[in-house]
Amino acid sequence: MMVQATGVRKSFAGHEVLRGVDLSVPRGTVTCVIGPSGSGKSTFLRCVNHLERPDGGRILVDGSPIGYEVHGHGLRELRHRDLARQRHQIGMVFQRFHLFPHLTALANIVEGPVGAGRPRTEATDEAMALLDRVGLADRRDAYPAQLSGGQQQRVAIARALAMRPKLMLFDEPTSALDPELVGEVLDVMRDLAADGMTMLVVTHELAFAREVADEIVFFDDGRVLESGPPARILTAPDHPRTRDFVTRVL
Amino acid sequence: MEELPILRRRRPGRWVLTLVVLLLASALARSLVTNPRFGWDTVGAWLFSRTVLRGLLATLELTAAAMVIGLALGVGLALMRLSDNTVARAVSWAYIWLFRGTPLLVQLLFWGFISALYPTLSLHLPFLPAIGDVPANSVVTTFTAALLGLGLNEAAYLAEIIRAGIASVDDGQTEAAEALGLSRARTLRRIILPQAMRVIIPPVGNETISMLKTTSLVSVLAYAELLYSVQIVYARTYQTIPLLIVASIWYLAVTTLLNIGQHHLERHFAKGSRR
Ligand SMILES: Nc1ncnc2c1ncn2[C@@H]1O[C@H](COP(=O)(O)OP(=O)(O)O)[C@@H](O)[C@H]1O
Ligand SMILES: [Mg+2]
Repeated sequence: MMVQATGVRKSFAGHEVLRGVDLSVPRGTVTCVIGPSGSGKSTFLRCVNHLERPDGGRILVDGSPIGYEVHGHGLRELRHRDLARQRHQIGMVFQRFHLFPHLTALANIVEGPVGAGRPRTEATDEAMALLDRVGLADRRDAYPAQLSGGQQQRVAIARALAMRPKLMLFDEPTSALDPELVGEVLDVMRDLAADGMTMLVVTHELAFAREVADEIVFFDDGRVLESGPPARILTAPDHPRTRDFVTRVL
Repeated sequence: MEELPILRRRRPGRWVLTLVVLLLASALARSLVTNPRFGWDTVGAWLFSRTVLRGLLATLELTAAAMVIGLALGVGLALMRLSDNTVARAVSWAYIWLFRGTPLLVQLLFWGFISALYPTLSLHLPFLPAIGDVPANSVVTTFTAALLGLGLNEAAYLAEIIRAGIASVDDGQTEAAEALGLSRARTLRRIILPQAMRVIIPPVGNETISMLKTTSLVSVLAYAELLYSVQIVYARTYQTIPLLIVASIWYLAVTTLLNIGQHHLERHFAKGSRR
């Protein structure tokens, strides 16, 4: 298993947002998380790379507890430096891109690897290859503000890939885009899935989920209400709430 | 309707204002030229004199050094203020409270008279032998006293400016850097501070210009910066007004240069912003 989460809990100021989430993502597969707004999808995703610290439960990525190390008979919180090393293996793509606005497309991609100690020339070559892969080789010197939303998100995906992650997290990567720009980002993600990348994707693009996902997980009120192959979840779900949601979004 | 040409509206107010300004300016110019007590020949004689230039240099040194101390300490204080360590936050708060809450002139005098408070300087920590034992006057010279007074005070103001600059950067930037696994130091240096600069530079520019003129307070410590240098001269020659004009000309000249520098820095850090 690439991701194995059991009983993950998280509260914000007494409000319980995750109420024991169990979810696993096998290596080389794509899991899409769907569910109503506010059901805790983003919070869960952010727990997977420890941007949020869960209050309870365990999250293993590739067998290692994220944010903790085994110490004697317990788990001890990691130092920032060691947490950073774990995060090198987990790429994250945000709804609102969060590119570094003062750096060019190329410099955005190079920043992570160079920060992790790779030689700049090597990182630059690899960044150029990644820009090519997301179809933006000719925009290497553009600043984020000079790129369309779809182009920015493709640079953001390349930036995450530059760390050579074994897991990619996507939090509604197309929700902030104009409709005509959604396709180019989904194309890049489709490509990545076909390449065998393990992906955990929060999305409202059910057509994409049906086509690419190996498994769909339906979140409701801080829990996984049901999960299964797209064919079943999208056409014949067990729960009326899932059915409701799917018919509303489709 | 489409064929009608667009006519420019007349603005009589502008013409009236221009006329008034021209009249006042010519009156001022006339008095500058005809009033012999301005002593322009004296101004000319002293403007590039060795004493005045040495004072100017001292002022520039003080300004630069005090701003460097202020910035270094200010970044530290701002980070402490923003950290989740309660002790660090409290220390930073207390520092800013103390140095912003008392007049700079008082602080300068304190540093100037430090030897009255601590005749010798040494550090006594519990369970350890005392470190150092030197006369305060040999460590805290007039220059150090001036520098400490200006720099430590400035740090309190710059800390607040830098804190506001860092807080103005979108949280998503820190999150993106965290998710990439960048170290805290690199996130600050490469991601947060460059973006905070756009907010930080205009007020820091103002602070620098203000510091240039504030250094004149140091004349109370008898440190020979620009103002004290001309004071020494007119105490001897009684040409008070011409020599104050000499100092003013230099303050204006340097301020103008600083303004130009600030403009270029702002342009540099606006890189990547939407035009
Ligand atoms: N940092 C936070 N502080 C307080 N409440 C939060 C925070 N992050 C999320 N929440 C709350 O947690 C709930 C779940 O949010 P989220 O995980 O973003 O849901 P989703 O991504 O499914 O829309 C929401 O009610 C939201 O307001
Ligand atoms: Mg969300």
